[in-house]
Amino acid sequence: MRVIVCVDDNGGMLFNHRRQSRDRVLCERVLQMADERDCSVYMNTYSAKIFPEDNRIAVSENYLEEAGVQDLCFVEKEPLATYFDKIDECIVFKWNRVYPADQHLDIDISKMTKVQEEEFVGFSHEKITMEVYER
Amino acid sequence: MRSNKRNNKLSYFLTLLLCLCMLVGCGSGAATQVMLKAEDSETESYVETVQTESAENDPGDETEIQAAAQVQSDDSKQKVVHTGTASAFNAADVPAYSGEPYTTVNNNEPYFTSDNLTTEAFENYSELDALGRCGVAYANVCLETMPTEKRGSISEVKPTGWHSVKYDNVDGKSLYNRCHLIGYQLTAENANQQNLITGTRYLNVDGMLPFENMVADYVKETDNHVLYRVTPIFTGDNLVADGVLMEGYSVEDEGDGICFCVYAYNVQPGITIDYVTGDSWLSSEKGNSDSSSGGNSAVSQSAADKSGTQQAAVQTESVKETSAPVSTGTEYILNTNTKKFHYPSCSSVKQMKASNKKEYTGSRDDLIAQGYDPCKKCNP
Repeated sequence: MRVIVCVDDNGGMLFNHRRQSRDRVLCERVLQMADERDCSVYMNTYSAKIFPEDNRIAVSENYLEEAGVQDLCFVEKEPLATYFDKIDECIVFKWNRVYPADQHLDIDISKMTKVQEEEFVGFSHEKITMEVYER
Repeated sequence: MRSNKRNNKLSYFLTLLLCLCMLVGCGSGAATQVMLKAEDSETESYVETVQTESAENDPGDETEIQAAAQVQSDDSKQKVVHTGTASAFNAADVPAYSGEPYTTVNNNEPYFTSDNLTTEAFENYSELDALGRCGVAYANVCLETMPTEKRGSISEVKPTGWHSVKYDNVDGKSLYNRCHLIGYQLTAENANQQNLITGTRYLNVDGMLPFENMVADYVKETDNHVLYRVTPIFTGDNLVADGVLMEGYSVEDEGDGICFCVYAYNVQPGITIDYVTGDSWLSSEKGNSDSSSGGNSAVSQSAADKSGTQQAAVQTESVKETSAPVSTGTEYILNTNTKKFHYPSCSSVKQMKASNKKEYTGSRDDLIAQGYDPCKKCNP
């Protein structure tokens, strides 16, 4: 299982059932990753709203169960603790900002190995950091 | 019998008429409740067509919601001015501070009504009250209201309760910040005294900034509008606000992107504040309860309760140890890049990059000891 998450400086993901932030450049990156890996990006209906229509995107409310081992899962709302043992790769996008949060990333990423780190300029964010962790 | 029947018919007709009148009268209220549950007390003033509804503040409520009925009119600008506040909000319902910088209010649903939804940009800052305190700040934040240049100096504004005090256990040392009700990044207001309150560092950075960040980035990304209202909450005649009610709601997507209603506490962990005057002291001293654990109302009593003991405590501690408040010094603006320091009024300050600019209150000698040189223009 390969998951993608977006977090603020405190590991926050959601506030009042809404994403903390979004950035169209980040979405383009995700689709680009799917291209490079020749896989699909699975997500729920809520997340699909911020992506352009694209045949690389698979939308399902049960996407964490349906995604193939090599597919990417763009996770905004679902807790991941119960999936932690199945996660082979975790791609963390950091906003480098603090937003309000009442739901945080619930897996201990330090138990994985960081294999890549890259910064890029977003559309509405000055600096987004992408970190790739592997088991 | 006939007369009775006629009377019955008449009373039936009158009842029907009364019901119809009530239905018509309630029509707008019913419509607003489709979107948001809570009724709002809204006052709108149009420069040309004046339309005013009275605010419904409970006079018996000990905590005032300031500026409920204050309207700023500006004939020269001929703009539509909006204000208002959440009359359904009751500060007494806010739980005491318990370690989190903010708490949700009204199930995180702002008190705006469907009447408030507009894609017209506006900003309104209430007139200061008789004590010089800020009231409601309300804006429809969009790209149009956001800054196009770096923030200027705001150090000339002294909001009510303002003290330049420093503690070692406060991030950046200064207990108080000139705290924008509506952040600069949202409406580009610099030294607007109607938008600046005395707020703790903790309120500013941990309580309010995350919401400003969220709204600013959402607007930049979507080009949508966000109704954004901040209401400072003062107890009685206190000069320092207990906290602020913050409401936000994205217009075009009807709250799908932004929707919150929170109360941010004007406290500083480790420091006790007298909200009557703005005086402060270390919570560990004098057996005082921490404002972070006892709630900030614990030290908000009348001025009569603020005895000379508290004043003396502040003064004594400043002599006794370095972590105590430092007596008020001169205000300077530092350029952290060039390592020069300036008076706030120096022309170089305006040209300084915001990322290099830092406000400092203290002594000239201390700054020189820290490696800073005085500006040759303003000779501080």
